Amino acid sequence: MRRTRLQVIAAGVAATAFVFVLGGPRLAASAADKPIVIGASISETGAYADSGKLALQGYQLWVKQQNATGGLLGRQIELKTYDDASDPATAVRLYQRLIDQDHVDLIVGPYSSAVTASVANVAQQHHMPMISPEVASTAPFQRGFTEIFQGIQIAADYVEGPMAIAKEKGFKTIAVTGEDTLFPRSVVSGVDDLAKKMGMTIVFNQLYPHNASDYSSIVEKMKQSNPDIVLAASYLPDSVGLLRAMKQANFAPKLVYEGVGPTELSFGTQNGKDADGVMGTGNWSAELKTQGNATFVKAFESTFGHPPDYHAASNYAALEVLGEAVKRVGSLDSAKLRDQLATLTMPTVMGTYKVDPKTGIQQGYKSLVLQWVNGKQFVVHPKSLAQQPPALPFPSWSTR
Amino acid sequence: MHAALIGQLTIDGLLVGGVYALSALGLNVIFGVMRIVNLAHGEFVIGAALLAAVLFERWHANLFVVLPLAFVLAFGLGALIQRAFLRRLPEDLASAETTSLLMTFGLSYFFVGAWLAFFSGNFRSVPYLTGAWTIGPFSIAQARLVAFVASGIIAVLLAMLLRYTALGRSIRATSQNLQGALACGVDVERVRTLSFALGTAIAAASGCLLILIFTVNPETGANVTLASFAVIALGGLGNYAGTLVGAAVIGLAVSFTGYFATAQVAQAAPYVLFILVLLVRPAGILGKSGA
Repeated sequence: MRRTRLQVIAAGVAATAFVFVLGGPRLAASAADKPIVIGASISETGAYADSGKLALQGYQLWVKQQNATGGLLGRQIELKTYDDASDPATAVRLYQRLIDQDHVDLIVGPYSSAVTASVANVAQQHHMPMISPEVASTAPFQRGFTEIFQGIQIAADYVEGPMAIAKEKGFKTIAVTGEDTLFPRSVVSGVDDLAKKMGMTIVFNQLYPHNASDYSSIVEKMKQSNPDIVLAASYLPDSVGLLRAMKQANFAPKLVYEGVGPTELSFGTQNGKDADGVMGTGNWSAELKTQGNATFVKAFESTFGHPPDYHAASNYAALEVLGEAVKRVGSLDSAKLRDQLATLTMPTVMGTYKVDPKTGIQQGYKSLVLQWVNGKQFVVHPKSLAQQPPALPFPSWSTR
Repeated sequence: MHAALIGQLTIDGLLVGGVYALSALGLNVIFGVMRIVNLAHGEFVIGAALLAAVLFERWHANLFVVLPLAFVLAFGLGALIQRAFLRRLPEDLASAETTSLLMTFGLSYFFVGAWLAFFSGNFRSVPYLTGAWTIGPFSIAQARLVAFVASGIIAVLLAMLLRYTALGRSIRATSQNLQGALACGVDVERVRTLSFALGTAIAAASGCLLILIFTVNPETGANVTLASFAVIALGGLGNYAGTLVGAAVIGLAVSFTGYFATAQVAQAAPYVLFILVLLVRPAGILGKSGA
């Protein structure tokens, strides 16, 4: 037994010595030689893994490019990320760990609205400014926080585009639907006021629950209300379900808008010719003529072997903004950085970054209306960014 | 109300019911013979659905070629699971229901994870037969009708297997009276393995048809399991004809409440019916009372 104890002590001494040998010089080195560490949690596993991965790659690409051109403030940059498995409570713990234990120099936002809303508390408590590229809901910004900044278009703006297009064409009646959860509800929250302002009438307004699988009844009801436009605040699965039910009911209104579902490329593969004419709201497009966008797309493809999506772009843009703020401040002073992020106006791959200095709500980035035409997505609104004018009316089912 | 609208809602309801019916039949075969409440059932349905979607995306594989393939694969997987796991559960009947529940619950989690790793979390569907045939004032969704007919054919084949083959007789015997079956020399272990395999294979077949209608990802399996349970509880546990009736009732309930009330009510309708039936006719609509 004694021998074992001796061995343990010897091992302990050796281990301590080892740590000193390795860690000693590092502790002694000056701060200027150390990389600037940027911390974040990302949903790398769980149901959101696919989009989370692209979001992370957006961060990674900026860090890689920036390091190749000399880093930031003369120091290299290191990205420290943990996997939050899409769980808000886990993300809160991870950000606490990044700040308290890992002593990261800067933080950036996680993936998804729900996770960001929880993490905002941590950023606020520690006075660490955080730009969040994955939160379209404005709710987290209306709680009096001073440290968080929205790095993506706000959800309530989404329906403005299709409604403006409809008004121009003289369409009058609207059927509103969508998934009965937080994000889609905030998308349709402004429809009533907008319709009044634009002189249009809402003839149907009913949401369906999350995980609904059969849309034939709700589509039958919409059809009976005979609207010019269908505005659905839907994700991918319900966008596909609704569209298919519309085809099966032979219901083709003059304009069909389906929230964020049509922005995903698999909307095209899952619907084939039926996708033609459908509009959706996008935050970004590879074709967009924003500053540095073409270079970003090329560099992303050559680094990761696949094209970027809007998650990658908004996360990349967030670090563009953070990097610029650090450069202007000339240090990592969080109070000064906060003020800089609140007032900075600058071009990114997403458009012009500009937030409301009080709340941090995004004002510069404009959401885009995309439309599927002959199996491809095109930006059709706003006019300043449009690749082509909207193709309307929505083609009838028998002429495809 | 127009007669045409009522007719349309009836058609939609019955066609969806047909697909629920097939998935529920698979679950009922397993319950009838083994008294196992298989909580992993939806995962087999979804696994096959995702496989069919991926094969369609990659090679435009025809669903009716994939269906027999999925059937055979699932049959093997089902037999393996029965041999490797379920057979090792204690024989004592009182605890068997609980332990099998826990085990299939665990299996369901395992398969959700496996499908996520294998197919990713993306929602998938298949753009095949997306149109509708118009007959008079009615439009009949092609995919739904095809899925309904295919479900019907498989259900008839299953009924013939149960009625006219030696294996079917053994399954029914084991299902009706375990002691009696044992006394008559039925190889109960073999019957159990084959029934679990058969139930799993039917689940896979229904998955290949379901993907024609619904958009699914690995996490939607639990909904399928729940809906299938509501169907067999309505029709009577272990009662195969009752399953068809239960599926039709649920399909109609969802279709009509979806139109006349809201989609939220439609989603609750199967479970409200399920509770009502449990209160009024605990053995199911076609079940023998006091069974």
